Amino acid sequence: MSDRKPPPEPPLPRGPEVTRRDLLTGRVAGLMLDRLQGEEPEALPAPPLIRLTVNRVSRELRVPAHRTLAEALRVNLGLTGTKIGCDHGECGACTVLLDGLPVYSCLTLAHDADGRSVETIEGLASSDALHPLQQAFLTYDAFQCGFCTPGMIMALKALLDRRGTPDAEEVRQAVSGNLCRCGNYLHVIAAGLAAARSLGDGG
Amino acid sequence: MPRMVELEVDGQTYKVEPAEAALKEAGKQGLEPWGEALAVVGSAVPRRRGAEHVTGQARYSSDVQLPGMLHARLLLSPHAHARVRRIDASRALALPGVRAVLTCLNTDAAWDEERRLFDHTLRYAGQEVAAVAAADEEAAEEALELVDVEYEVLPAVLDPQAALMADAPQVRGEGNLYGGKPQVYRRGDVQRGLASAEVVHTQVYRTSIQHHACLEVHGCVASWDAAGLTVWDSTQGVHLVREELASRLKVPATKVRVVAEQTGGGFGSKNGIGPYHLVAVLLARQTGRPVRLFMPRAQEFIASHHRPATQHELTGGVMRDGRLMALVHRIIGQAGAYAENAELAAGAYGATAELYRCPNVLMEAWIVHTHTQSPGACRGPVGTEVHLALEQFIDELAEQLAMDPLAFRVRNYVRADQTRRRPYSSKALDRCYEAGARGLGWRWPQDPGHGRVRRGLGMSSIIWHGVQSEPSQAVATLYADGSLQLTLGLALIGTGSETALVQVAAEELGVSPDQVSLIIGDTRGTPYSIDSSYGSRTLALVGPAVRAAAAEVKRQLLARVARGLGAEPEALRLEAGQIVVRARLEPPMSVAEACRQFVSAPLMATGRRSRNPRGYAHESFGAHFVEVEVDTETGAVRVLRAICAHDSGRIINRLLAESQVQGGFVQASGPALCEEPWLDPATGLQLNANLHDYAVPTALDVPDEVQALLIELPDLGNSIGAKGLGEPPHVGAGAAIANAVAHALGLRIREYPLTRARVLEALRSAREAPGAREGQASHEGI
Amino acid sequence: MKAFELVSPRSVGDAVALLAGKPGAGVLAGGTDLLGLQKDRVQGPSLPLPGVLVNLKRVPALRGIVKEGERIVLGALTTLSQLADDPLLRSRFTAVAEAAAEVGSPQLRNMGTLGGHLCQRPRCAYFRHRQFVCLKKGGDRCHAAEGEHRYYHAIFRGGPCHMVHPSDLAPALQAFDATVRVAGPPGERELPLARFFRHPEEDPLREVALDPGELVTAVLLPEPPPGTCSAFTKARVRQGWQFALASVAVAITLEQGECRQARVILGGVAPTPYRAAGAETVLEGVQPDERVLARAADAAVEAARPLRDNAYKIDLTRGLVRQALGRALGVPPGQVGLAGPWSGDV
Ligand SMILES: Cc1cc2nc3c(=O)[nH]c(=O)nc-3n(C[C@H](O)[C@H](O)[C@H](O)COP(=O)(O)OP(=O)(O)OC[C@H]3O[C@@H](n4cnc5c(N)ncnc54)[C@H](O)[C@@H]3O)c2cc1C
Ligand code: FES
Ligand code: FES
Repeated sequence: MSDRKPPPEPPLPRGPEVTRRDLLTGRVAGLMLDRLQGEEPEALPAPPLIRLTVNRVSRELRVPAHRTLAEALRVNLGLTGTKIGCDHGECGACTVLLDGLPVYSCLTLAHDADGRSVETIEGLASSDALHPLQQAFLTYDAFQCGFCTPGMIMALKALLDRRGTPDAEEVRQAVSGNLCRCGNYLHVIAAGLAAARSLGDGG
Repeated sequence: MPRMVELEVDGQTYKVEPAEAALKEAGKQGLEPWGEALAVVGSAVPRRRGAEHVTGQARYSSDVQLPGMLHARLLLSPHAHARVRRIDASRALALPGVRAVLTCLNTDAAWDEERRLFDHTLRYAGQEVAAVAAADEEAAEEALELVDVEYEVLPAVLDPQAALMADAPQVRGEGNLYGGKPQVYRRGDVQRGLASAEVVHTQVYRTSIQHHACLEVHGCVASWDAAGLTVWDSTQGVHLVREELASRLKVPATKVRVVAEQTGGGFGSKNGIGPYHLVAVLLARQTGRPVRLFMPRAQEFIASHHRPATQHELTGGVMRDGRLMALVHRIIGQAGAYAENAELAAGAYGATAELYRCPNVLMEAWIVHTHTQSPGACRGPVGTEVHLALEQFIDELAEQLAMDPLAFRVRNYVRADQTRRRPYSSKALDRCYEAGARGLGWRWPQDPGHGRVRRGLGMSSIIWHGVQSEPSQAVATLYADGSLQLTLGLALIGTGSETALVQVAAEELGVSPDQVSLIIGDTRGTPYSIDSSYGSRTLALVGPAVRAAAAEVKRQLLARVARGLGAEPEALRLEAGQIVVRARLEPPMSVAEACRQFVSAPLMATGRRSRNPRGYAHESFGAHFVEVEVDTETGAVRVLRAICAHDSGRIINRLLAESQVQGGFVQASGPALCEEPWLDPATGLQLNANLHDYAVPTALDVPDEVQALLIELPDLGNSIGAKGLGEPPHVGAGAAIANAVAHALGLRIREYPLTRARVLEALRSAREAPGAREGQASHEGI
Repeated sequence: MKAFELVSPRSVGDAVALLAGKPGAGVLAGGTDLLGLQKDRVQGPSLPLPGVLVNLKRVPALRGIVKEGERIVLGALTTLSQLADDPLLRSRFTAVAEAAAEVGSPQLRNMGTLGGHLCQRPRCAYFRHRQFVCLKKGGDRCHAAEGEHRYYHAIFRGGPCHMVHPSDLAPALQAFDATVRVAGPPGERELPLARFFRHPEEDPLREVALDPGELVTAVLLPEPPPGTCSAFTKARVRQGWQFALASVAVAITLEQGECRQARVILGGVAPTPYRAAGAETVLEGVQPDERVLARAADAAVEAARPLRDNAYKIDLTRGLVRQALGRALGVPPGQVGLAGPWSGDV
């Protein structure tokens, strides 16, 4: 194994505030320790309680005003099925249904879900059976790495809830706000159509 | 010394080892190549652990949350070249919730031979300057704002051509040409070849940077405890990450555990470790807490490296009858600021030297340092760029001869590898041409139409390195109830290899895939199946090891059954899932029944991949055929159909293979048509480091049809007959699209991607060119 | 994301009062633009990040599409999906519904509101990038002028800042002579949409003519004259989900086959929606046929002054104008007939 040593650097004029020695001698370590014992780092007043229904279960949360619904679901409620791919409304991985409509939870404030109903991928299957969309995604191999899958399925769920028998173009449009970098769009569209058919058949 | 036999290909004689001998000799399991009638292999078994994906239960490393976990963020250099004059982190440290700040002042750790993790001199925009760990993401982000850095901005060179000038700023102090000279491949004498040619033609092509843009960003969670270090990583290879961490940290590999239950896309960017791994690990050690460091999307564009931008100058000499006499291919690739990954910038090998029969070839790769992030492996690295240029140039040569570009390719077909002078272990490119042309309805000459919207057909050949002789191990355990467990040291990255590997085991043992379960995605308790899943090699590398492991437990099982029945082991055969005893009246017995009756303690075996037979070259092949439509008024290009014919050996799972082909085509259509970084010319900063302006294809961008034609010619190179399929569909798609666009427009744009801007600009210069006639709808006159 | 305090008034009056009481407070509607800016900390000497956000989402009076006398009132909180799906808009104000349907993605349309859409900040990458302090943030120059400007920069009336207004709806609304209703401390006022947008020459820091403490409460559309047909076309870098490289909204009023009134408004090509008056002149008073459309398209881009690298937008815009006109006229609502030769290739 090579001894990985970078070439020597000329000494750096040092900043007055924190020095390496400070770090070593514990001036900073002391600061760090204080913080280890400290509480949540919120300078703002304790945030008000919000109540939302997540997958038909009522939940209460106390999160700062700037916490997004995506983070609240993942971090505060442990529902990590909702993914964050971009955090900017540019990928669709965080798609959830808010009062039945697909939205990007990364651009939705948790506080704006107060009093509303949120559906996530975790709420889709019943205890004993997959939702037809989930089944169709398996049958048609509608994903590869699967990171876009929860968002894709939720976007399609909203479509199928609204429109029983969509055509291929409507299915395509419904997932037009969801990126799949693995590029499995055609299988996603096939799965969406198949799920619609099986729902139509009363299955 | 293995027994060698003579093989004649295209009139040349080669010495090769019979494939069966290699299988038997090295595997010792007496494996025969599989025949035609297979029960599980070839069928569309649904993706393993797919149910986790569709229910949201799949656990990616970015989902890992540990008690007391801290969140880390990186501060990256905003300058292409600068020195850190002063760093003041005190305000950041004073922020409630902040637990640690690392900078070049308090962190000496090296990244590699060339630089520290946090260096005083910064040589590309995006190089690490500082890192913070805090109680939550918000505090970490806020703390970054408070790290006060004073930079001395130094002169930078961003463009490879400029970097080669004598007075250019020196990036690494030893000249900006990596290695001091171009890398060269030479065969024959190109001067003579060109002199003897009846037509000589030269063109220049440019390709753009491509980012992987994995949907799951790069990152990891690091945690130390008494047993050592555990890292949950978004990676393509747990074992490689472990090796690299152990070596960088100088701790025994046994003290490092790497876990990746699921990985949200890698495409070459998640092999091994990046500086961020070390940062997370150091922060975790310093704070005594688990630390999570996942990139914000904007930083992801840096962390993943990228496919470099390249320039290609091609000169070809041909005879009027279509014979290719000489090819000269000069590539300029951008290496970034460090030696790290420089050889992914460009290379003097691959398609130009191999795809077509050509006695005289010269390839030169000029790898140039600039003050930019270094390139990385990106699905079909180097090869994708080479195909983009070469496969268009081949079309242009055919045009020079007024020849059908497909016929021109067929005219120069070759059955042996001219670079290593070996026959291919299998090559069905000719069948790919045939099937693809039929599938698309290839015709020549084409009629693009006269209206506002023109149509064009285009095609491209594909060659991609196959798996060489590398070791791989797999463990199979057969339980008394007939269930089989496969233990594999590899990560699940979405290619579906794990599902195919289950099928391989199920086939060999004669059980249903449902009876096979997987332990995977963790260095703990798994054998070294692969360092990392790159190079399209997982299946063809690990598959034979899995088959060997399954064959060995089968042998053990049959031995037990024989003993139990008092029969000779040789009298037993496993056929179609049933054990039959020759010349006896016992009814056939399933494997599960046999296990219940004769197995008490589980049977276990480690399978090892046998080496490839000697004397062959191993490559995957393919040919893409596409039809496009171009709106000459608005410059919009749409791919209407794509027929992707692939020779990737035996197809283990048709459904998953189709996904690979589709996905590869779609991904490659991005940099062909719309995907490119926007770089500020003055600073080199990427202005569109986001998933919106960096325009990856959406559901509205894909054609209605991407058909995978999987030509199955089982390969002799390994015991499962498979060749790689991960990268080939990505390698050929771009050139096929570009050729189709050129045929639709009757003019060629030699710079990618073929955006509306480029299409409209090209149409305008064609219109304004002297000699262009108004209203003429021929090939030149749009 | 930069932290903030969130206050949620229940009425327009309360919202205005809150804004007046908290200088520097921001207005939050759907959040699709604002939260992105807050996350990326887009700020500068003249662009502080708000520490307080006044959340409009709980003000019911701002929602919905209603008729008020001769005008259609689109509440500021109406989502883009509601606009795209509204039957009245689809039939009478086709370009508006079409434009709404072309904004972003389905999810963004469910979230983004009309008011927020008109007040969204530019997409110039220099403006959005924290490393550049451009004119819009209080800096001293437009980095795009000499920098990267192929996509989201002006070919008409650019400078001193070369941004383009990113809105798809604005050209369509302007093609129907829309009016904006604004509430502020002094009360309500209305102004034509065309005057709502400000050119950087007037004020590089703001794109809209809102005074501090003012809110958009609605957009009003007058009944279009009978025989009006309209269409919206847009070009993006890729096919899906992106801002316009250029967009065109046209509204044409035909009387016995002759164009009585034409509106051709371009988006994505100038700092404000750009009225292609030259194209309107070509169209008005004649029977539109293919040749007329081509001449109108040429006239639409006559005044273009592109930057170094975005001249292609001239050809693009010309093409889009012709296609928008063709679509509007080729599929006329009602029974308006067409005279003149048509190849159908529109
Ligand atoms: C990924 C992405 C893609 C997009 N693609 C497109 C596209 O293709 N075409 C297009 O036209 N647009 C596009 N947009 C922009 C989108 O249309 C706007 O973000 C959205 O409409 C803004 O509405 P909002 O309610 O979310 O506004 P917010 O984000 O809440 O607010 C936006 C701005 O308006 C102000 N504001 C909001 N409401 C009012 C009001 N009533 N009075 C005064 N000020 C107000 C806010 O203070 C803020 O400055 C895209 C946005 C994103 C994030
Ligand atoms: S994470 Fe919300 S859209 Fe990408
Ligand atoms: S399956 Fe990987 S992003 Fe869609």
